[in-house]
Amino acid sequence: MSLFFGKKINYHHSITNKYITMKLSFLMLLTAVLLFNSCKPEKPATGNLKIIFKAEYNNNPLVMYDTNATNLTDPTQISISKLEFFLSEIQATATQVTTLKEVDYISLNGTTTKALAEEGTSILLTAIPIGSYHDLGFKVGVTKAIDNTVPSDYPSTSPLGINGNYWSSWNSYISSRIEGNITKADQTTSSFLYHAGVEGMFQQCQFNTSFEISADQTATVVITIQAEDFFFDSNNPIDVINDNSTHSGAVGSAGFLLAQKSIKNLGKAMIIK
Amino acid sequence: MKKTSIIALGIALSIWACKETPLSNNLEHIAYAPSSYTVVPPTGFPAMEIPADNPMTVEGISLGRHLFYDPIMSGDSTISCSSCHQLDKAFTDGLAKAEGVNHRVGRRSTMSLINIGYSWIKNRDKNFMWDGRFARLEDQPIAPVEDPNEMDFNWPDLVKRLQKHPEYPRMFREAFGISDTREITKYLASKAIAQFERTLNSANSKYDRDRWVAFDYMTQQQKRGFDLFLGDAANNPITKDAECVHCHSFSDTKALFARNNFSNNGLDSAASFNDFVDKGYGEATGDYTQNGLFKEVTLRNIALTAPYMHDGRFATLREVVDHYASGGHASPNVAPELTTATELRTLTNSEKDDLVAFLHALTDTTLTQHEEWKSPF
Repeated sequence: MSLFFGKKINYHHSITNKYITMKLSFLMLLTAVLLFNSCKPEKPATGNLKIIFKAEYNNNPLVMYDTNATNLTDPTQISISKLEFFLSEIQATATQVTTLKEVDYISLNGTTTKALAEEGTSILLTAIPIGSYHDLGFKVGVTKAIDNTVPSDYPSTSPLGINGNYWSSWNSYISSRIEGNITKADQTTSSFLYHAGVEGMFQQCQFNTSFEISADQTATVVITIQAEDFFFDSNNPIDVINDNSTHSGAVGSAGFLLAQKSIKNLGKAMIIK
Repeated sequence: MKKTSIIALGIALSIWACKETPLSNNLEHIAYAPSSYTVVPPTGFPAMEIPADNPMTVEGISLGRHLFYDPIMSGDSTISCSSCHQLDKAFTDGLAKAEGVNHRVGRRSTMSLINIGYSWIKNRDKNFMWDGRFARLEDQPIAPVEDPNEMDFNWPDLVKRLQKHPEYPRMFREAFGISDTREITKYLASKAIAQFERTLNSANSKYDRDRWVAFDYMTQQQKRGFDLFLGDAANNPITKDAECVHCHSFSDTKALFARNNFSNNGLDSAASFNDFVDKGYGEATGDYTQNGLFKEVTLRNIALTAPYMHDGRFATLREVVDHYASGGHASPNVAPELTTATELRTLTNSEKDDLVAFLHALTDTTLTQHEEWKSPF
């Protein structure tokens, strides 16, 4: 002790003793804090992923309510007024599959100008372990597990807590909604509405894409929805004139099959350019 | 002379001493011990979401109830909130458009307050009123006070009235713990009214009793109407699909009969988005594609809230059903739920009557028995 404090120490002086005691206490506390900190497990480094969804029609930004030429004889024009859907089990693969988020909701309904359509809408997934990812996947729609829940299980801040996103008659969330109008060859217009949502009605999307998640950085992936493929893809086209509406329906019904086709087509219309 | 001056000074001092001083505004001698209040959800309803900055208390609700029924809120002391929101009409007024002081007519119809607390979608900035212009229930009561067609008053003068009132300073103290009458604000008044409004919850209709009690309360006609209301989902092959439930949605644990969205239900023809006379939701959001959209209302107690729509254009529920069965008027953003509902256009008169009968089954016949919702005066 005397080596540390030298001649200044007067062991018989009470004030000096107090001073020494205080200094010692401080040193001990400092040591304890340092020891404690060195023992704490290091928080693993994480970063973020922003997924931007944009919709296009024949490679042009899809502006809600704007008419688009179909390049078909009938219908000749199409406009979309609503395009929204649930995403669930958003996963990415680096060395192993990581679930980035259980559920989210994408709405492109607000893209009512070209600038907004070019901007698209995005979700930010946070606290993703750093690494080189080579695969991104999600379900368009909700999983069976989520479909076994109901809006009252969630606060109104969750898209799952909104009454309008749930179809009580089928005990299911409405997985996807696409609405709009067409102009037919005879110049008349009519509406279409495709609401898909019965348990198990989701479409798995998988993208072989690479992105790097670095500590405290945000990587970006842009997913483009090619709206023309939703309706008129040659492999599975929707007869938007005659089959213009579905709210889903009992399993196997015409409404169910049309809804199933619509959500399948929506998933297939998503690409990474 | 000197004597006179001293007497005059004495009188002046006495008058000054008797004048209202800041000390007389002090309320700290009144106990502040609010009792927390929990909204008990009706059967089939979830727990109500309450904003963290306005927790409900017995004292807050009591203050809100008094303010709600007190004409002190209007410039000429003739109109209170309850003038337009009348209990026996499910807190509406029976008029096509609301009437304020001197019978001045407002822009739109009075909306029901029943289950209004369940209309709040927390992270949405447009929730309340026909055009959704208020995010929170607390924001809403502030506006009518200064609307010349409603209460035609101003908040600074109303606050002065409340500060000088023999009872309100105490009630504000008991509800919010203010220590001085000068702390009474329009925001606290509005918070109290919102607390009262969150207690106005009703789900005791024939439909509810049918759902939760092992006994048939709905008539056969009402049941047929319910099947039409549900459509395909009723799983009744002989029933048409009126497709009402898409907008007036419900589930067993969130039986609101409303999805709390805004839509264009085909009331008016409009060649373009700018042709709507009343722009509604679009006026509040500034998004022209939302012009002509209005709040979808709950169907609970709808039989008590005539006339219908934001402008009260339909006198009866039958007129409403007739409107929907006509397919509505064309406009760029009319709800496709309506325009694609083909079977709705084929409803017979008898089927329309069935639908109306079902809507009557959503009336809570015990509404007026709630003593705690009545005027405290």
